[in-house]
Amino acid sequence: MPGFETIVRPMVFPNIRPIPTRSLPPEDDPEQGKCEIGGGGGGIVAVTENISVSGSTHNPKEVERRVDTARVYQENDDGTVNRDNFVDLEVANRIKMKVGAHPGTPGDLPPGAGFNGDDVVKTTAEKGYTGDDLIETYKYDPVKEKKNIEIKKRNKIKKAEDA
Amino acid sequence: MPAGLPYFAWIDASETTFGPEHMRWDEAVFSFNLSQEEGDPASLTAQVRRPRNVDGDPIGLLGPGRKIWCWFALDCGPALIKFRGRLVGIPTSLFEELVTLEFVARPFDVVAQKEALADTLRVLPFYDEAVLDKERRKDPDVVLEGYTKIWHYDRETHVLTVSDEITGEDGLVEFDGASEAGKVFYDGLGLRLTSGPLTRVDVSAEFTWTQQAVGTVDLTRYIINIAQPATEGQAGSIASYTLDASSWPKKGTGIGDGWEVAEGRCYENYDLTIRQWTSSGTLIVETGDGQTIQAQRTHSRSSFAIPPGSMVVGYDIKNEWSVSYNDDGDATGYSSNYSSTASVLPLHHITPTLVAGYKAERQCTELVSFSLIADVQPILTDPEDGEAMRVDDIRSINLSEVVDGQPPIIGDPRRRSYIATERGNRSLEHLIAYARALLMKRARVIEIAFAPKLARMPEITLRKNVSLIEPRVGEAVGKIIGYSIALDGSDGRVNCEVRIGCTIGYGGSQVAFAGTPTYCSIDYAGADYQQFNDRVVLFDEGDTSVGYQPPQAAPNDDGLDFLSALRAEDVIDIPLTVENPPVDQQAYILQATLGHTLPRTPAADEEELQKYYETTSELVGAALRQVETKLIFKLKSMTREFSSDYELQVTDLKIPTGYDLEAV
Repeated sequence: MPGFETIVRPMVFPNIRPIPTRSLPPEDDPEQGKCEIGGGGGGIVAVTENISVSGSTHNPKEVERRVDTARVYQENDDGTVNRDNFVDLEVANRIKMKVGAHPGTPGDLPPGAGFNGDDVVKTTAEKGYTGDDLIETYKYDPVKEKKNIEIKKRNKIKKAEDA
Repeated sequence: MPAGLPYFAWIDASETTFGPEHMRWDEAVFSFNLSQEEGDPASLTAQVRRPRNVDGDPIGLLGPGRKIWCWFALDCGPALIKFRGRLVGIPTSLFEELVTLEFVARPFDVVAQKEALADTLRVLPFYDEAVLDKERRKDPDVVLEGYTKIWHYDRETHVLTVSDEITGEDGLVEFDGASEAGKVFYDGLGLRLTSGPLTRVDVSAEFTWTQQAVGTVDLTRYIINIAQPATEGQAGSIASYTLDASSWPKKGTGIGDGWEVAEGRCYENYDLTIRQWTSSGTLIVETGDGQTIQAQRTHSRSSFAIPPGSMVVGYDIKNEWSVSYNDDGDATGYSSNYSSTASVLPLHHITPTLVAGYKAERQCTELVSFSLIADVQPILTDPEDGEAMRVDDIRSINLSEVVDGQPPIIGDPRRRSYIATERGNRSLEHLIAYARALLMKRARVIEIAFAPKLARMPEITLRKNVSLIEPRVGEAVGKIIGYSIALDGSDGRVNCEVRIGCTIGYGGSQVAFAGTPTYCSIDYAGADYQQFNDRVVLFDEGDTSVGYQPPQAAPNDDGLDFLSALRAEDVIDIPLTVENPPVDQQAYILQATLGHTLPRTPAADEEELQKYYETTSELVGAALRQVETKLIFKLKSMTREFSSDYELQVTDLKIPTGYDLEAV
């Protein structure tokens, strides 16, 4: 009917489809997306070792001693003292030793420091340099008077001949 | 009342039911033409005497207060043929004695009715929102795309329905050519070919989605198994002169398209930190004669835990000694100094962990093509000349997209294939339905017009088929595509015409085949659990005109199945290769430093030694730069695009035999 009404036949419009999202899938690039794990972390490392050994002989020489002169009388078994029979002794109360250029160890005792068993007691040892030489000084308790010991002279200095 | 008497009543819009009160003559109808074409509302053109008021003056038909609706009826004898319509536009011949009024049986609420009806028609497979633009989904006219249906407007009730273009829903009107009522008039019979039938529709459609997935894959074991050296290595670790723990990729580092390190740890099996050791001691021997012998020793060393397989590229030893004497010529002192320097190139033994994380965004496309061939009678001498249609503009929305809050059409966006899914099959069926509709409509090429007797006209609607037997035509069955009934006032004759469209198929039906299950018996797992070979499924349960073989998923992709747990072997695209393993590095370094020896003759001084060490370091460094160990592999891209082609197997389309051309 050629009337005024709109013809209502169904019309499917060409634009009812979604818009294309793509054309053709691109070829995969085999080089793209490769994972490469590496690193230049290596390097030379120096390993070192040092060993030092030294040795020296240590031969001390007496250069001076200070002595007390003591007379020791005979003491009989009954405790009496025979003043006719005696000996005179020099008892060192200080000795100085030349050690040489090599330093010693504090507290070390010089050889032959002992005297008369319990009577002589080591006190201290001191060190000191005289020029190039090391002088060690050893001190001892002075000898004491007893009924059979008589002190004749104290602190007599005696030097070695080659000192 | 005598047959052929028309009634005309102006009515209110609310008078939707015809009653005896409407059998009146509000206007003197001189002539009329009531007609309806397929897809259109019925219309009435009536010539009436020009309306006048009681004073005899013409009145305005469209004036305020005038009724514009009418009931028109024509007595056909056994029944009335009725029409309810509203006046449209300005009457023609307004100044003549006879004016022409035009009415249309179109509902006021046609848009609402159509939208409501369209809602009921949005069902798969005839309607598939997957292949419609989001903006066009609400268009009611689009819903008929897959149907062989057309809108139908009832001329009395104005109810909008759809009617099949091949088989009417309201039954068959028979003109048997034998009975009195079954005969049609000799005049008015016509047969014509509207066009050649469409014999084939070639459809290609494109379904796209973005394959989306997120997850991790532990590559540690895979890498170690390949990269651990056969010799000078340790089980579970990688050895190299250049690849150290600090070089291992850290979390967040990109390691491929869509890949990054989710967890990256690495540690050196050997502590390469340089450490210093120093020890010293003094020994004093008293000889008993006042003499002491004092010995002192100092030992210092800088080193590290040298790993097996490390190379010593330079080595120097110095050993010096001296003896001192007193004035007597006795030895009083002795000293010696030993020093060694070794240039070591450590072999790194590293134990790595590498968990790769992916975020897939892969554009996938499935291109489906098929040809649906109509089983129709040829009207051309060479059937190859039959017309074919190509439909290649069908493409889907992004099927993994959430539209209007609805879940993605593809369901799980990790899928590799859409069309092989249950929902995908529905989309394929929609394509078939679309092609089927095109072929079916175009198969209705025979149009027969005939003039029935007036008494039969009330039976005629556009929702019915007609069976016509007429000696000149033979037998024909077709859908009513138009009718008209007209009265010419000049001669008083009532002319009736009915036109039918007949398909020229061979008839028949397709049969479904269960096919051969590919996994297990149907009884065991059910019919929808597995894929089948040689299966034929009818595209719609109520239709046997065409079937197809649901395709099996055969995606042309890289094989990644995100629906299952991924292993390293699954995600490797290019297998791991180790460039310059330690054996090769060692050989290269030896070659590069060949002839570079410590200057011994004449005795090297410190400067020469230093130069030697520097040169050695440079040589080795340069060599290492040439032969850096590299682990190279490629993970499957998470951003690639894939396209898979499917050739859908469909049966021929069986079309009813509305008219047998070969029998004419």
